[in-house]
Amino acid sequence: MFLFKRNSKTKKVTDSGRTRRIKNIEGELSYQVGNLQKIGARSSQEDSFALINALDVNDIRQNGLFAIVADGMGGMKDGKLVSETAVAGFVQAFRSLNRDMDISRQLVDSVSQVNSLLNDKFDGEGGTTVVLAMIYKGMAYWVSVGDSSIYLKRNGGLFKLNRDHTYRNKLYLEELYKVEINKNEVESNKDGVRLSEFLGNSRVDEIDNNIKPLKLKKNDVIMLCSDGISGFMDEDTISDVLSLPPEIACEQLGKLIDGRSHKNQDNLTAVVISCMN
Amino acid sequence: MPAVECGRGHLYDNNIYTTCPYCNNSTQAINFGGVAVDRDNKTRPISDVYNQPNNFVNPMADPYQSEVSVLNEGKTLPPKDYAKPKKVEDDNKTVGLMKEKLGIDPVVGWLVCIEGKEVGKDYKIRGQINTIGRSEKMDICIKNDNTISNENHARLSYSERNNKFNLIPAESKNVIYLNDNEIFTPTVLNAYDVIDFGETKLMFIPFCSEKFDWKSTKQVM
Repeated sequence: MFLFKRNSKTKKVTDSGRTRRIKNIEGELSYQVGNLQKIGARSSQEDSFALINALDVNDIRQNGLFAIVADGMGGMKDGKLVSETAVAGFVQAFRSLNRDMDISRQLVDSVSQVNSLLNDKFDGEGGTTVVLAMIYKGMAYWVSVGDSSIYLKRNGGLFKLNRDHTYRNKLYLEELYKVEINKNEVESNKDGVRLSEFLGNSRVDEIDNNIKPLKLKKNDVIMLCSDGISGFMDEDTISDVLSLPPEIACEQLGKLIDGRSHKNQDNLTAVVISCMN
Repeated sequence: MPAVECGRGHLYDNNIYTTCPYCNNSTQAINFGGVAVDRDNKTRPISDVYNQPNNFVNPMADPYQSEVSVLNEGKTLPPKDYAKPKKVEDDNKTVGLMKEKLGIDPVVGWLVCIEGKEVGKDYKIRGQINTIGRSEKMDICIKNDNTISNENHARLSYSERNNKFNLIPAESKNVIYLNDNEIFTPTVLNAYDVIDFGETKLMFIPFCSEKFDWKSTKQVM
């Protein structure tokens, strides 16, 4: 790796690839990012992702950093196209946000907009998950629909911020009201992995998001990923990998998954953002 | 500069890749046995990809790979009872009695915002009960007015049997006015009545009236 300076006053650029470290104004966080996408054992790639404003410190300061991962549903039509359209829709929504107004609510509203766009375009036959995060003025706002994941690594602990919208989680919820909770029955239900909510549906009832913005701290790491990662890796490993700088973490995640070569390895996509000063 | 963004939000190392490796993914996938399907990186019309049959399996593909793709194993699926919604209009929110009878869920009237943040916008009224609120879950969703409750601020009913509209105050924290009179109980609506929710004023325009109702059309249909 080599290191060189681009603009000594504002920007410091390290290395090889997907990341740059940007020096900042006092007290302001700066962000290092990395992304990863692999096809796994599938015949096509149906995940889509985007990282917006990641390379420009001024853009981040003015408009915020935006990251999104969408996992097009293989069990429905046009997985790739649906996830791509969703990403494009949300990126557009991000660009046209009114940053002086309630960001959380606008992001949640954009879910319904993108959903009806997808529903119209694909006529209810295509579906995708989405997990997105916007970082603006040191605050993170996230939204999730479906079974993609958003993780926060803080102080050595790994926290999954969203809840998967799966039938299994619905079953668990039902079990809670029963006298005796039967875990095996829930786990063995073969429809458990089906999504209870996704985009492209006639309407979206389940949306996960943080109502209060998450104040980011130095050394926090956020990862958005499709279930090709969260479903094939235990959280200890994810946590370990996220200790590395984002672009190396992404490389490492890819290698680990490749090494396991699971015969049903789903498409995998991750976007990693780490906070520094 | 090694780190570049392809214009679609993908970061990659341009020392290693000449074009964005992620944008190409969807087509690179069909790339077994040295038969590369090359596509440039340009934005292309939807139809280009869309026309490909859904169960398209590249004959050149590794048999193991195609086997995986044919099986549904591990693929993300919608809920078991998910069926593609049959749509009547652009928003198929209410599924009511009329839908069951007629096979469609027809519009029976409109509300038009004449004052407030959504001024100029119209909201469709359908048969039976229409919920009004800020939430997307509501049949009539008035988004940007914070004086309106998130859910069930009020309801608007259309009775097919009597061919009548009623406004029913619900969980609103603010008083609802109809033509400047406050209302607390279900009140019959007439054409061009103005419903005042505080910041938002809506004018009621019936489609079903003495002149027309869907019940009589049913015979014709």
